[in-house]
Amino acid sequence: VIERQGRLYWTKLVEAGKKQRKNWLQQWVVLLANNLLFYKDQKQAVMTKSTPHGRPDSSCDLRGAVVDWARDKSSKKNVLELKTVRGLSLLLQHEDITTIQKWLTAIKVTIQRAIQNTTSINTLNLESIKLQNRNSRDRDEDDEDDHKKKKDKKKKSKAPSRHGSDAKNSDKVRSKLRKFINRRPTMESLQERGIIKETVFGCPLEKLCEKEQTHIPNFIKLCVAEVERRGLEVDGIYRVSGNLSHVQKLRYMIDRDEPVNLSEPEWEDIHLVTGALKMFLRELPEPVIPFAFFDKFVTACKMQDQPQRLKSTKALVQALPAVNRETLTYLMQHFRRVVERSSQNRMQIQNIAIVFGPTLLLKPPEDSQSRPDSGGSSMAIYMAFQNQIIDYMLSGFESIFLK
Amino acid sequence: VAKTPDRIFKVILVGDSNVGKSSAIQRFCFNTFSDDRRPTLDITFQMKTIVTAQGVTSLQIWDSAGQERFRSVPRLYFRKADGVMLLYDVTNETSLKNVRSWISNIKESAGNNAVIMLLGNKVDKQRTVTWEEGHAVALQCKAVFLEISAKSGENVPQAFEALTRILKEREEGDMGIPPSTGTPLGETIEVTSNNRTERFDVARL
Repeated sequence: VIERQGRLYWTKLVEAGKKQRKNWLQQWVVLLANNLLFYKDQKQAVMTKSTPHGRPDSSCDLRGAVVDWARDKSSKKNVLELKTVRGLSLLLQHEDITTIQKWLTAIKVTIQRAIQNTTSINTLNLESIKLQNRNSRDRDEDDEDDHKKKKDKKKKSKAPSRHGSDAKNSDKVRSKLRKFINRRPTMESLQERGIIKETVFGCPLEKLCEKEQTHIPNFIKLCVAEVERRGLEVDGIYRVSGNLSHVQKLRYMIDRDEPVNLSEPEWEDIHLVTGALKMFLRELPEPVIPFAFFDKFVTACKMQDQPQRLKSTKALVQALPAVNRETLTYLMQHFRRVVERSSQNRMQIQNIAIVFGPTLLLKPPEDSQSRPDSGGSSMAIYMAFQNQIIDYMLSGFESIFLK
Repeated sequence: VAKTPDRIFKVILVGDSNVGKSSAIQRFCFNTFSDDRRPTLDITFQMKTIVTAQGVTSLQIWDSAGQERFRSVPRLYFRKADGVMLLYDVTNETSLKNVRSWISNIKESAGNNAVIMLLGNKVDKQRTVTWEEGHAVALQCKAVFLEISAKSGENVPQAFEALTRILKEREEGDMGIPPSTGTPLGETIEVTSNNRTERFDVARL
């Protein structure tokens, strides 16, 4: 039963006791026997059997609420303030004074009637209505605490009618849902049983090489060969991004083991190939230079004594697992060839180092997770090392990797 | 005479790698350009004060890294950003195609409140993306659209000034002036600078 409807400007003023920043919206507002509903537009307010209240953006329970002219709450004219028992306070506004007056009377009458209804049902006096309202508020708050995640959903579908039977019903649904979610198998168990497989992207380097019977993943070889064939002189190679959706497509095909020919016109943009290679390296669960080696490489890189620095870095590279060492050497060799053409592609050693530093080696995750907020400054420090290490490996490539 | 700003707006520049985010900031804040810039790594910011007839406004301009490795980093900085400048390169179609994914990134983390400005950079070069193509994307994304060149400086100050103006107007709208007085959708606003009047399209307000 619609008491009144129309376009109004409105904003929240206080919610759950907290002052809100004003955000005036013009919405289609519908006044029902117990509720005020807000819709994006009139279309959303069409009531059908499946959606008895249309699709409201928000709603407000009028039982026990107070409405009056708002003075000093806004610089607008013709503003009403509506306070509910749940600590919500709204401002309603319309340009036309007669319209807003009609709204005021309609809301006042509705609230009055809601109070009478509750009294007639409960056959209680006015004093206990307040109490009853408070109880219902408590109950609502409990609900919300329990099911914060479903709050939004609930607001939309349930707020208009809060009756005991409804609450019971939705409790049933809730416990069912909760059981269902808890019963879902974990990612790990699915991986163990082989239902989810990380085929190429996201597969540990060691596993992938074992499967492919090689020391350097085939996908890296494929990309590197293609870049060397037609990408060495492209401006900003490895720096420029490829179209993300196409890179994803390439990844999908590789993961599904579909045959991919990178010389086909579909992969004409070389930045797709470099993007996919960068993505592959990024998605490795452990980077090419394993976590355990991060601090060691940093220490080696910090050494002032040049021969000592070389010796330590070289020893560390030798200490890497065979698969990682060969993959790293292969990539570095390739980057050397990119850098040799830096007069054409503007990718000097520093640029390659910046692009690949954070991709080839990463600080072990537990450090960054334990202090997620301190990311700012410490991140900047170790990022500088990531680049310095790659920079050093590239500039001293021959003495570090070949001799 | 040092002037204290009435309001500081946080503006963040995002976009693909190598589209010229850092160069645009360099041009706007220091009026210089260097041909050989390194990719940006961390996040830095610059302050720049704009004096207009309406008053003094400061912009806190955040530069972000465009490398894919850092896709997740700018998100932290989207929070509470008043304005987002989303750049693409008019010589590189891909950078325009990736605009959509940036937009969804922004919407996800900054909410729908940030004013988004889409800027096509490098108009001094031989373009492969037309003005119309960029404009169409801007309309779809409800972003203000402008083409600039960080190298020649064309439209760079105008872009920042326009964003400031929009932010100011919007804020005044928030302060109680009914939203209906804001610039309606698709109308042209005028920004005057250097005794020259630039007209551009406002797709969002």
